[in-house]
Amino acid sequence: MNSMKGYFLSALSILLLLCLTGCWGNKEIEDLSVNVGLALDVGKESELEQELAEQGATYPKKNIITATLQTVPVLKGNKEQQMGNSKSSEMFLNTEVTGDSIFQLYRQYSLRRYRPIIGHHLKVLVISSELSRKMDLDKLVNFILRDNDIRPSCLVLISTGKASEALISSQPGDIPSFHLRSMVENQFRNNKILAPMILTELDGIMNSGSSFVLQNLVTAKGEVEFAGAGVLKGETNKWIGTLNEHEVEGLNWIKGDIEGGVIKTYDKSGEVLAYEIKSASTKIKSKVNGNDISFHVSIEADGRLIENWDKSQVPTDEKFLKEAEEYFEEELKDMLHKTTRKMQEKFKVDVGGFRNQLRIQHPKVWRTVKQDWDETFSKCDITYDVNITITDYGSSAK
Amino acid sequence: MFTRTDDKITTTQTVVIISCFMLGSGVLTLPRTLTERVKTVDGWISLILGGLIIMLAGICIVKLCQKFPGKTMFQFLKEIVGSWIGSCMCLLMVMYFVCLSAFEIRVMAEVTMLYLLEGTPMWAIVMSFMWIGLYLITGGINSIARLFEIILPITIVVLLICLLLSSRLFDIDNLRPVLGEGIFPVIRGLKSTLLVFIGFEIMIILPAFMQYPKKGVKALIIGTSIPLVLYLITFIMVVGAMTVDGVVRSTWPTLDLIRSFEITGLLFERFEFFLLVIWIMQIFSTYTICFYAASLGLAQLSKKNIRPIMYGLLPFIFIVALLPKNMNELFDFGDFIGTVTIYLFGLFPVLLLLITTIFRIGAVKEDE
Amino acid sequence: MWQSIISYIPNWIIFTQALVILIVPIIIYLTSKWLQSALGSRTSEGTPTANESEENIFENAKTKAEDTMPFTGNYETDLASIKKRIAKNCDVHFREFTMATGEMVAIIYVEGLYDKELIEVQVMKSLMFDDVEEMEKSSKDSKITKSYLTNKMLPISEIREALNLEEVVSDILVGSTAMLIDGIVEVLLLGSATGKTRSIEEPLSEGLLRGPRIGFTEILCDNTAILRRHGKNESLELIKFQVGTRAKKDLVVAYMNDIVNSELLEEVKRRIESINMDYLPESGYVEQLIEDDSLSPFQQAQNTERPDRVINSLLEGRVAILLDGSPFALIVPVTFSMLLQSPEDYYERWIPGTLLRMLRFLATFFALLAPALYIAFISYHPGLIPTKLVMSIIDARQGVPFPSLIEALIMETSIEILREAGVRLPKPIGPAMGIVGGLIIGDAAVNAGLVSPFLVIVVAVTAISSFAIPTYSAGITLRLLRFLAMFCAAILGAYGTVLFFLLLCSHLVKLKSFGVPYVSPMAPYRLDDWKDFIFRLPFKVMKRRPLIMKTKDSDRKK
Repeated sequence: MNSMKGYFLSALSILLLLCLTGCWGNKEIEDLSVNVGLALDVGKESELEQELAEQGATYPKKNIITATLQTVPVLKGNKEQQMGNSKSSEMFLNTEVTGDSIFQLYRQYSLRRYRPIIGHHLKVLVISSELSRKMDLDKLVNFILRDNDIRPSCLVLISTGKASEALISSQPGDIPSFHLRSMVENQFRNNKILAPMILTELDGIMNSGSSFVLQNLVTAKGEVEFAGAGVLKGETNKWIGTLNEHEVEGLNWIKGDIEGGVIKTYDKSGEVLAYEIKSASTKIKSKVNGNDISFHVSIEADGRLIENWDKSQVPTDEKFLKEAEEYFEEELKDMLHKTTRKMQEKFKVDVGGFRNQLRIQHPKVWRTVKQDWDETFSKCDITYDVNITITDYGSSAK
Repeated sequence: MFTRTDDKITTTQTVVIISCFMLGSGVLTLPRTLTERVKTVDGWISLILGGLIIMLAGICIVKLCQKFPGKTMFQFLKEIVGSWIGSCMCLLMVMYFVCLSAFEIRVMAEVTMLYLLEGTPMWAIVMSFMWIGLYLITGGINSIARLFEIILPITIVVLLICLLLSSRLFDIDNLRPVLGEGIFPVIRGLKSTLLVFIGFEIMIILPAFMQYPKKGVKALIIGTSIPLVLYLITFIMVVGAMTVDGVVRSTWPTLDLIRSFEITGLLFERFEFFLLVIWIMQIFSTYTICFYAASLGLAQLSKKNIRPIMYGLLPFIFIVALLPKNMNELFDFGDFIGTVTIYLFGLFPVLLLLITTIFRIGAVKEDE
Repeated sequence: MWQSIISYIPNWIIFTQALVILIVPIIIYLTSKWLQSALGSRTSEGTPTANESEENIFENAKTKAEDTMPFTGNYETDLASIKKRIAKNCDVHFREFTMATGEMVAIIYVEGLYDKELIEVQVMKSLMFDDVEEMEKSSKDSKITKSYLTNKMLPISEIREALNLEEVVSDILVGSTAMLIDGIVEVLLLGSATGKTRSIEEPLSEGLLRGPRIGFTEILCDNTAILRRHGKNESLELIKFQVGTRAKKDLVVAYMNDIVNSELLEEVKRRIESINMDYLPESGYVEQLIEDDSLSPFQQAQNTERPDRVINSLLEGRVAILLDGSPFALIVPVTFSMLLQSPEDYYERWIPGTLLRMLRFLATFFALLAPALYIAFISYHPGLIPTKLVMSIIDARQGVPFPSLIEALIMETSIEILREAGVRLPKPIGPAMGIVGGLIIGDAAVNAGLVSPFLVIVVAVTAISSFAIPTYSAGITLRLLRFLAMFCAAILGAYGTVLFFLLLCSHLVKLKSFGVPYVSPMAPYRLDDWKDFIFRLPFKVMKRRPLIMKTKDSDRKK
């Protein structure tokens, strides 16, 4: 019995030891700062960093990238202060660090702030077009894709100006990263917004070697606006130019990413006519004739006449509706042609998803032209067939 | 005592054991390993073909076992090929099961350390896991079967919900064209699909425990179909959302898919936790049944009590699990195990079946 | 080649760990084996052993022989021998008088237990005064006989005879009245105990809105009578056992003889017969002495105060055990799902019944794992919480000085203390105490910055959930396991929680109650039994008795 008691005691002590060695990886949530946004700019040390460097805060690096890490929440000292100053204080904290390896930049953060950074909640990644013109995008997002904290649901955007400015907000209580993240969801209101490009998708596209577009944004006076799209060339993954808002709209039509929005045009007397899209569908048909590849895009849309400045025309008149439909079709076709021209002539890239259709519809042909598709595409013939239907005219019959 | 056919398992339990064994580490890696080999979107066809082939191999084993009712292969192998070769083959099978359980544990530990417990030493993760497995298998095949019966429905429901939620990323265009490059890529992928169906080999012991061994073939077919369907849905959803080019770049594609969306409207925003939970449970089931098969094999080979053998195997599995030095070696290890399966449990039983049929070894009671 | 093999040989640390991985379970195994043996061998394997040592037997032999010696029939000697045995007791009274016919009679009774009215009116009156003429007539012929007494003179239904001292003494002490008559060898035992009893009340521990308001009491015969009253049913059988080596108590095993599986019945009888304990004050003793696994945190017999629940279980083919002196009947075998079922599920219509059951399963989940998940998420996996929630939790936890485990332990422990105090306190104070504790302490703790408000919500939900479980003792088990889950989560995060769940399931699947798997019908699947598991389907669908019970008669309809 005594030896059994000995066993018992040793078992107990081992279990207790196990308990003591516990809690390895734990870090209480309130001791962390949550990284919600990341902006990448061309490397240029900020004044603060320069001063710090003068004091001796340097390590071997090339100043290629300046990363702006946005972290939340900003801690309030105590309750009174929170009550008094909450209006003026900001909800987020931006930290700029300059260097080359993005991972190292993340770790440099710990030299400046005491609360370690976690990437699980990274919502947006904004890359300045300047940086993306110089560097392969693959290199920029390499760490972010590999990291086990950062989720691949992170959104990727391109900024015309400095990317870090997109992470600043003039509105109190607003967190720019969340702001940007939610704004993408407005696609059903406005067809000038591209379908969100998340890291998972970006990874696949970059690996496939196709060219692609990223939602572009512009900033002024602390306000951010989605404007156009940055075009990135497939093989190099570098920025080659911007599509304007109008062309983005056309691109969305071609890609069939229309969830709502508006077509606006002018009638013959120059009055405004607006059309609210209820549903739209796009079909791309590829035709192969010997060496000639051509595409036929047919678009159909249902919607309502929502704005009509011309008082002489009433929508109850069937003839007027037909006429209006034609105006809209004309407008849309014009838009599509402009977009196609830009793609084929200026950038010589396919960002409209034509390659996918060819791959699916003519897999054998696709294999032969896969190598320099962008070249081949710029010579392809693309025809459009647009059919817009006005199904109703809202709550006003006048 | 109010005993009921205690050491016997029902046909349903057999089905559940086979399914749980098959659903293992493969759920997370399958889309990548398959697509890497196939290089087109047609991996799902390979998957179906692979499943059918595995069913055939499994049926061979079941038929073989049915010639020796009430005996596991560890027991009757000697009767067919003689004492020496039989013992060697049995030992090989035991080693196989040890390696397989070690592999599963290691994969589990790697993923856990990557996504759940950064900074926790591997031994802590592995040890606690192994002890609980030991506790379970001391209860015998019946307890194992009952636990699997709890785990399997949870797995199926959670996996399907997770995949269903990912349908917002799904695009059918990513799965087209079907057979765009002919049938060859499909055949190329066959080998890697065979690897995910590791688990049918448990039929070398199960028929001995079955209440109605005659239903072995039926149990095997259903038991293989459940993972086949789940794998199929997983593959389709993952490739449909991530495209072929994206899948090959991701180490754990299924997990990456679930991490690629956040649903703000629901109570939970992130679903990889649920996926990891069921995945750990499935690894647990694969590990325990392997562990049990290995200890049963040793016990029947040496004709000793099974309990000390279970304890004795623990350190071996642990050491084998820690042998691979990095992820590449780990995946190579997995491939190696898969290759061994094909020979040890795919071709060898066919050979045995031929021998027994030709020489009429075993209880020929088929007229009954 | 050789080099590469060498490089794979693990270093000594891994070998040490491998050793640890081997030794720890062996130690745990030996410990549990030692505990098992210390707790007494498992009842399923145990056989009744002689509890007396050699010397005792020798010493007792003399009194034994005296005890079993038949009475002489001589009034004086018999009375003296009885007196010698029990006259020391202050509550034992001897009343001697002369019968109308002249024989000496002694009535021996225990104060407060004997049926006063019966003895005075029916016995003494009739013996002393009534039928004197007839008596005289008969006395001429012969001496008064036992049969004459019982046939003609004692208008009492319950008369037993005792031949030796042992029988007489034990019966007197439990409340029978003994009558010693000169010239008659046998001692007559009249009536039975009528001590003060409680009236039948509504069961305290299992309240229902709808359903019978009747509950068991401490009196065994009342309880069996309640069971009998469930309806005209010949198949209900009640077998009596005597348990307790020193103080014997009646124990009744109830079952439906044409439903119950006979093997199960034999097993129950065997285990009850093997009970070896000097005294059993409550059915909880019986429960613990006949259970399969004493190291399990789960109960392996269901205790209930509700007769309707017992009858329902009997009709499902289970066996009920009732002990004298305890208002709690035991139902065996029990499965986990039974603990989450309430009779009300059947009394209400099936849709609300089903909904309530699902709610209870959810409550069980919360009661078991909510604080563990809280700890795991807060301390280990901030990445798995929705972003907006992370921000508000960080805000809420500002200034909380403890890690989440300590924080949760503080609150959970105080809630448990409150609950325990609430049980002990007199009824009018109890609820007030709950309010003071729950509301004021919780609020104060948040304001003082000891805990975060988020945790208070978690703890409150957990506590309420654990009270939503219909069986009180199952609630205690869950609360106990909750603390284990919290520690697991604190050591290994969500992974630890999953491991805890697997451990719990492993234990549950190994556990059996009287040979029935504890987790059935969840595993092994018996789809027919699922009609009455998480769901409670309409009665028209539930035509069969549970398959796991292997009943003789599986059909509920004829």
